[in-house]
Amino acid sequence: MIALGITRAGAEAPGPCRTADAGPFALLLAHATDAASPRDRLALQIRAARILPALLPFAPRRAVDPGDARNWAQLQESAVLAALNRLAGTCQMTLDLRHDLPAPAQPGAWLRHRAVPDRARAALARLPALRDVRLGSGGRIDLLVPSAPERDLAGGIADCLATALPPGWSGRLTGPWAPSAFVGLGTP
Amino acid sequence: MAEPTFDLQFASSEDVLTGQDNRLVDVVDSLLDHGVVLRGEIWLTVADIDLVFLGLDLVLASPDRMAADRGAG
Repeated sequence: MIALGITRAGAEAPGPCRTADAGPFALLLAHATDAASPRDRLALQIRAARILPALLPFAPRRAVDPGDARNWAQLQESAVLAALNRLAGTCQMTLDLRHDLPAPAQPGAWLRHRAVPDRARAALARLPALRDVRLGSGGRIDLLVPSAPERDLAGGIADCLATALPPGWSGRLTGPWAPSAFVGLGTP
Repeated sequence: MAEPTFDLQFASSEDVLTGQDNRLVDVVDSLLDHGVVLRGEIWLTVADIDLVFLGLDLVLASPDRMAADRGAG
């Protein structure tokens, strides 16, 4: 078996995953044949995150042994429970920004260009529909949103960025994902 | 004067996982490294001979990523 994440005790996972209680929480598990590749594990986490009340996903790149997962979680029980409470009823959307026009050749243009993702993050952080906003690498912005988001979440984001960013920028919103960028536990 | 607009496209997680678009592949690649990481491991090898195994409780990341994590603090 491979551990895909941690959820609340007693929660039922969608097939082919299952849960195994481990004290006050439960491990999300899958057979090694169903979760053989990192992409398999990511897909299973996405499916489970839609059903489970809360999920702390393990980074899919590495297959995690259930015994290691249980030991790790029990060593920091209170932090794990706090993270499960903080992320309950949420999912992650990811926004990739891109610049469609050539960058102006003025002094400092490169620095201003590079500051745009942080400008976008700051503007989005003021949107009430978003629970948290974090800047990733390469102009990627991770958004923590309720699992049942407002009807026109994308419209609100587009309106916000239309006024906050200079012309020539566009974006692609993807998701929903398990809230992996917001777990804040383990090695970062 | 026209209102400013922002072109925002949407792709579902299923579209991203099954798509061949390079930009979407980058999204998946990034997601594979996010989440709880119990510990890292690395083998140092020379000429296909394993010399040293290191169990890491640290991670190599870009300055952008580390700055973002500090900011989220």
